[in-house]
Amino acid sequence: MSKPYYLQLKEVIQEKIEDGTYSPGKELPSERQIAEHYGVHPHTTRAALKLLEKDGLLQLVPRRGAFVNLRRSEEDNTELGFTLPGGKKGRRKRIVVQIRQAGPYYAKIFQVHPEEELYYVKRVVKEKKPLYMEELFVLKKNVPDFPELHPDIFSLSDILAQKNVPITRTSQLLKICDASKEVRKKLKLPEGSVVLHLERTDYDREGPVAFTKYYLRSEDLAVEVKFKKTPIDE
Amino acid sequence: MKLVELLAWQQVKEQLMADIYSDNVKNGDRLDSERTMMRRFGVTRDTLRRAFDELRREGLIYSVPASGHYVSKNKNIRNLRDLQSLTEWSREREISLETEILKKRVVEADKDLAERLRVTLGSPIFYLQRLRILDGKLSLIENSYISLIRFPGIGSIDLESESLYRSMEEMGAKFSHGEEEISITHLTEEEADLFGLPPGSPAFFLRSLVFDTSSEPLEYLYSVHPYKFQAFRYDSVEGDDE
Repeated sequence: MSKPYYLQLKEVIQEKIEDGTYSPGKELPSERQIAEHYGVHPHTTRAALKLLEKDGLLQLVPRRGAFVNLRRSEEDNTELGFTLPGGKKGRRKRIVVQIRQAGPYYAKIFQVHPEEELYYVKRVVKEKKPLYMEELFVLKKNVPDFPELHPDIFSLSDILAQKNVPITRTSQLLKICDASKEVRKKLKLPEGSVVLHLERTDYDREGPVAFTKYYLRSEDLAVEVKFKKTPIDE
Repeated sequence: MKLVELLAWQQVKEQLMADIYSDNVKNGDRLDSERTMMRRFGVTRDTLRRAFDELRREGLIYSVPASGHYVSKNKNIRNLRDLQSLTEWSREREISLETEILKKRVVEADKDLAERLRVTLGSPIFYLQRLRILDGKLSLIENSYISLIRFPGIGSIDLESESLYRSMEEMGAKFSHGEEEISITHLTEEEADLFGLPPGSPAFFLRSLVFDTSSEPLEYLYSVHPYKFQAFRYDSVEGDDE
């Protein structure tokens, strides 16, 4: 007796992921397209994809599709320091993806020449309501194809790890700022509101690789942080 | 994807941020006059003011009417990793610290306190409310809760001059790690009065639980910090995998 079709289909897709037909970060054809291609029921496709997600090979994003997982970063440093509300479930809505020059300020942050190019991403993370706006700066030379790696689906640290730029440490600064007009609009805040403003610099062994600014609507939200005593006096 | 040019006010803002970022620029330094800056950047007054508005909003400068724009760099930056007491923190930075005790009493643990400090309902808890004055300026109001079963002697210590953590360490506490939650609150009338700020002013609200080496809770505390002069830092260290 032969294997059920959903298992056969799972193996076919898995093979295509392993041989690179579907490379890390890429989007798979839709469930319907796969079903049509192999002449199976969409439920069969769904079952196969679910199994692949369980094995950690795919990431299924509701209303978006199935994405081939990136190689996991060896040490997961993403949860270090301040933890933002929303976690991985928050939906990201992209506002802007641009390439810009570092300029005098970001040249200092990244310790590069002011003409060095950066990817700049601005987006809002929502659950039921908007949680925060983020502005992300990444050195283009480290991740030339950053926009194609679905930064709205994969975490920054996973994308950088995929590019052999693993984040080894991070530095974060939290303050409170008056919300700008844009932030108020995106986060649906009244005039005169303040936001939690978090700046985060991620480093690999060479130096800074990414810089993120978060603006959190935080009247009813909090950032959390776990800390431990640095053993200096022991 | 093509290279995007920044708008004039963004360029001015980032150049000024780079100036302020430099170590030569100190807190309270006055920025060049608007006239000088207009010449330096070749921009209009409106463009310049847009940049100033943004810098002010982000707390990097403050402006004094009819005087000028000044660099604001003197935030009290607490590094959350260190689990350092305010006493140690201020000593390290040569900032004077005075403490004034507002309230000091024994309370019975309600459900919330009992859960946090892992004691039974009604257990005696030492409650301490302190004003912490840094460099002569009231900087935070701190509320601490400590189990009197674990630290029976804590109530008889002169906490206006002694460090609470040091005293607890002398009683055998081994501070190890903690969890903190930071959000925004608005000052109550009582708090606003103490800080000399309008009621309803935004402030940091911190809630934290500190544990010893065997993960037993040592202290539950919450504090209120007016936001203008406060920031929190977290730096991971290499090889940190937690």
